[in-house]
Amino acid sequence: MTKSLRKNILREIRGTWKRFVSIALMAFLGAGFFVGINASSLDMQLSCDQYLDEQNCFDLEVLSTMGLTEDDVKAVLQVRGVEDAVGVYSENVLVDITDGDEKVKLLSIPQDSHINALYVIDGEMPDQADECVVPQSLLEVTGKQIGDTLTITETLEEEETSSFYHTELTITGVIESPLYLYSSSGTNERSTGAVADYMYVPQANIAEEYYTELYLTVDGAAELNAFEDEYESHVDDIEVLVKEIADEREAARYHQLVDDANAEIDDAQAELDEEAANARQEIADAQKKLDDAQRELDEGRRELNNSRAQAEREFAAAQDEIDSAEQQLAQGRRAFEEQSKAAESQRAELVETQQETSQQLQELRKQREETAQTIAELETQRTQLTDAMAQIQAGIEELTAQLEQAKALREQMIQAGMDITELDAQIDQMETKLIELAESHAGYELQLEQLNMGIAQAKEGLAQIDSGIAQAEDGLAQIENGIEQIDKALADGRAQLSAAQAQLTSAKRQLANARNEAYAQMNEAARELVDGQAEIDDGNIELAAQQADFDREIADAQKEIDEAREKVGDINKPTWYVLTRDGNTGLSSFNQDSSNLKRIGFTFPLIFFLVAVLISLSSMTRMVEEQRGLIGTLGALGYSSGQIAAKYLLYAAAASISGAILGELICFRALPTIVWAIYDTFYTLPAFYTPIDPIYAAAGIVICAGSIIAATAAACWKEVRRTPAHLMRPKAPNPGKRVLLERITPLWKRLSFSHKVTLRNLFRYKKRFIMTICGIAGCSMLITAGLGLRDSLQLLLPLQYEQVMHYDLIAVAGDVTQDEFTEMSEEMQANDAVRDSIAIHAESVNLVADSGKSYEIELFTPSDAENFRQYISLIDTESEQELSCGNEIMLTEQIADMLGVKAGDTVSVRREDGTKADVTIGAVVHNYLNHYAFLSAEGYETAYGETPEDNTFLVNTAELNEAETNAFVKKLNSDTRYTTVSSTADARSATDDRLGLIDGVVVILIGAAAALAVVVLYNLSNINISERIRELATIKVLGFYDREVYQYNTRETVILTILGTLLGLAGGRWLTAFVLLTMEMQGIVIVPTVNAGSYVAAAVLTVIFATVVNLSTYFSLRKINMVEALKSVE
Amino acid sequence: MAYISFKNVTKNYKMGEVTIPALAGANFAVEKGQLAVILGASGAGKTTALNILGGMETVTDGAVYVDGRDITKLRGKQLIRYRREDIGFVFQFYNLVPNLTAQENVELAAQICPDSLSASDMLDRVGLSDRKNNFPAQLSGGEQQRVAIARAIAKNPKLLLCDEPTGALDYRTGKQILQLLQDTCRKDGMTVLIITHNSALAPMADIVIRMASGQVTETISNPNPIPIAQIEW
Repeated sequence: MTKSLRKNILREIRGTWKRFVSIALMAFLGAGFFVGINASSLDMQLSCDQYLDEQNCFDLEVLSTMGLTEDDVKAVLQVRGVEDAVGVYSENVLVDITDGDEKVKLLSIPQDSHINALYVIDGEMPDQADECVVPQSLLEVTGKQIGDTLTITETLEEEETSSFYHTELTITGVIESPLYLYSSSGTNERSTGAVADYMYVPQANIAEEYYTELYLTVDGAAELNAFEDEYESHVDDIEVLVKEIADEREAARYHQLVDDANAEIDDAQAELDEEAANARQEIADAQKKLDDAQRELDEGRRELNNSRAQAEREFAAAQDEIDSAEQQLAQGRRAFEEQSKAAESQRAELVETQQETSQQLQELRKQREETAQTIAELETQRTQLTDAMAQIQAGIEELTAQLEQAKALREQMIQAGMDITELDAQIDQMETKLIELAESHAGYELQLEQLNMGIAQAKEGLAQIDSGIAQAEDGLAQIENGIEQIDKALADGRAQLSAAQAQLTSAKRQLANARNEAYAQMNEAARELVDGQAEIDDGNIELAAQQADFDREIADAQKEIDEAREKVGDINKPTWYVLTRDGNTGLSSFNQDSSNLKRIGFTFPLIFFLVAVLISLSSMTRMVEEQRGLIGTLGALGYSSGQIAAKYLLYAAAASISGAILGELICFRALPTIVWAIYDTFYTLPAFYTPIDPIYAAAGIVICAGSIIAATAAACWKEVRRTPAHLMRPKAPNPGKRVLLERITPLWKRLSFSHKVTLRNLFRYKKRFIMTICGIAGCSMLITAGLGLRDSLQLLLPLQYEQVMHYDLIAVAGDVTQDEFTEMSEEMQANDAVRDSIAIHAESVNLVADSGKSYEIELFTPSDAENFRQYISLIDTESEQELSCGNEIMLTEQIADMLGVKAGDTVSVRREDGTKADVTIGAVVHNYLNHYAFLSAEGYETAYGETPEDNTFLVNTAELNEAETNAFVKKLNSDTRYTTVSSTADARSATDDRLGLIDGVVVILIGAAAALAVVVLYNLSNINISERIRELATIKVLGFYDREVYQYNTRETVILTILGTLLGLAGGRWLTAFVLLTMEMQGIVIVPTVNAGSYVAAAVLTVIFATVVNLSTYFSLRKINMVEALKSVE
Repeated sequence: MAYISFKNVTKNYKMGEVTIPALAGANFAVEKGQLAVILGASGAGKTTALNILGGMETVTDGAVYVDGRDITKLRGKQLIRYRREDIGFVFQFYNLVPNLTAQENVELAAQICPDSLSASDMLDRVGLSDRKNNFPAQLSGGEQQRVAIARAIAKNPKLLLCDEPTGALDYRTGKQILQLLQDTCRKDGMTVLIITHNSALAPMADIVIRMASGQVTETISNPNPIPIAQIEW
């Protein structure tokens, strides 16, 4: 480079710094954005790869439908290219969280293996079997801390034993797992059945003898970038090798399982046989006992019969005796009656004599009585007489005593000299009386003598009577004796008869008693026999029942064993699934997201590039054109074409390379950092690296500067190859032309003069026309696309929740019986917070397409397909008609796309228990978030041969505010019968958060587009002015006011801006669709949409940028030096 | 006072640290209706003088009176207005707007002036009645210059300033153009200033101003100007 050339360039730059800066800015934006966006995804992938390498993350994962064994691990290790392999046990368990249960995936930490090493954030790895480590997110949902105890609950099937030795686990540390790059983010998707969190326990805590997963690393894979094709193909090679041993290992596992099962069954059979034999023996013993008893009983019965006959005989003999005695007695009685008749008549005679004698005796006794009475009267008289004489005697004695006394008294009185007259009277009287008394006493003594004589006479008569009496009595006694004798004989006879009768009666009674007693005894014995028989019969019945039970039991047990044996036959050969990292949700979605970014990094910078190169091309072309005279002069002076072109090429190179380098310096760090700040919330990496990738850096500079330099070279080439003479002549200005519009005279005439000029100008400079339109269109396209992406993202939730999913919350029941579920259903219906609800069956299934691609999705199976429409609208993607859930499975659009299937194809649906069924795809339906499949209950039954049990409610709540809804959800969540209850609003806001992050990227895009727009417009206006400077100078000279000049110039720009903007809006719509098409976010279907508002915003933004830039041209126009511009052609 | 008078006009161009004097105290005067020819070698300052007179350039010092008004005092819009209403300019390279037909180029000027003349008439006058709808590219150099003149006079200006109007034309055509300019002056009474380096044209002028090194070296009044047709060079 000659000195003058260098000087020339430097001066040129100084003189045209605006042009230089604008080209540099183009390169800055083009290269910076290119490397920045690309570096964003590269840095993400690099940082992730670094992390995965550090944690020795698996390259291949082997899953089997029947578990994996240590032998499998050993076999895999033998595969060429496999570096290391380890088996891991995992199971979904429940963990108590602050509002209910959380389903958590529990994985084992293998001993002595560093595959998938955990990244310890805090605390330390567990070394005891009852310890565990968890990710931060689990601490957050459980509210636990390191050192706390976490209780895990298994959902065990019947007869299943716990897979863990310990279920009370002490948290020893907080970790991140390379397997869960994604799920440890703050936003957990808790859809039905999906496992949101995970935890690790030492292998020592695992009671199972098999592994559920087998992770292996591939030789030389760590050295490769996990997100590049080289890695993929390297791992794919080994994947093929691993798959080769699958058959053998599947067979081995199959045989192991079958042998184990058979052994178990054989054991069971032996046990059953033994038990059956024992039971049979017992039954036989019991039968024997019963038979013995029967025999004994029969014996007893016979004995009883014998003794009964004996007794009958004896009783009959006794009866005979009694009968003959009775006869004898009757005879005796008859004889006695005859005798007694004679005795009676004899006795009657005797009685007559006795009566006569008695009469005589009576008369005698009467006489005797009369005599005795007379005697007694006489004696009474004598007694009375004697008494009266004794009385008189006593009277005399008393009177004598009284007289004595009186005479004594008289003496005394005489001695005392007292009157004794009276007393003398009395003594006189007494002496009188005493005389009288003595007279009476004498009378009485006479009488007494008479009496004594009478008595003696009477006594004599009496003695005579007494002898008569004695005679009579004697006779009577003899009679009486005779009577007595007769009576006695009669009585004796009678007594004898009575005695005989009594004897007979007694004998009869004895016989009857004996008989009664005997009968009683025999009846007793008979009853006992009956009872005994009944007992034996009962025993027999019972034994028969037992026998039947036993037979049934044995049959059942045998049937069970037979079934088990049959099941052994049914044991499917296990299937190995060899998965790459794509099978891991976290890793694959990271791959997807970073690749999406890469695709944006391709699409957007491409547009940037195109625009930047276009503008630079124009700038440089203009520059070369401006200096054609100079070029001609230099050519005339003898400079070679190369030397002349060198100036422009160097100028372009200086501008574009400096711009590109500056852009890269800034964007290589800034953009990835900004982008990572957005993605960081989704993926947790311990470190994020932003190295400058030399290849991309060079590529950015080379592509950007190269295309600008190439454009310059092309512009130069056109000029420098012309002859200097031609160049030094002024370039003929573009000829004016009539535009098509002028042919429409009426319209053309109506246009104002300046409009005509504008219109003609528009079409005069075709290059400028196209370039301006393209430049502006590019910018407004980028802005529109940016806004369109936002719109499309924002449309996602309304589309999903207003057009597809109508329910307010979904509640998944846990392990409950159908009865319990029915009860829950009734409670749900009755709840005030619920407007309506539907019970459906939901489960996670694996869809496997013919292509071998497999994805886990949620299958909804409504039993009431008609009502189901109220909750989820199934809209066919082809006909846009709403469909009813049918017997053919319906897939949501993205999963159908990912599987590469369409309506009418067949897809294999594998359930969690491993059973699978091939189901025809009935339709592909719209859905925008997550993947679902829908199959009617009939279809499910057809596929699996069992009725799907409802386990999930889709609920529309009554009019509730947010707090009420939350409270309701929380209440359901605290109900242990539910495992997952999530409200649509929650899911919506969670997704909203995630989309908000993508929104961030979009804002970057819009910002970049805006920056580009300004630069492009500025450049365009500069080119425009410089290109038309003579014309503008001319009209200035003609006396156009500044405003008029501005309008003259700007009117075109405005029209071009409007045209470009309109084109850009349309292009933006296309770009939105294109970017979304290339992004393909997992689980999210985004319908490209650009809202009217966004069009307006993009248009307004573009117009504002254009206007601002245009306004700045106002000053440029004012500064146009008319004299300089018109001085010469140059 | 004369219709146009330059009084001690100085014009310096500053190129970085170097000051280049373009005019160094130029003085001349032209009466109304006169045809003036300014003669001088390259760099003598004649174009500068014309540009100053045309309101395209400001003076460093001195005064320029046009119709009694000092145009050096005019600023911004006033200056543009002066250009718009009082000046008609004819360039060496015509500077027609390529995108406009002959008529439209004239109209472009005519539409902005209050007392403008009919564009069609002007074109008739310059002899381009049948080329009115042609674009500049479809016209010869002489025809283009005629359009430029028509454009200039259509504004009905006080002054018609022509900077080497025949510089890019062949002899015959140049002569026709000069004839047109002379006729315009004579018939319409318009004040016309023509810059030329061709001294042979001097006889056609009413007044000849010679310049050298930024100064007016000689001002010659010609009481009997010769019609251009009679001048040969």
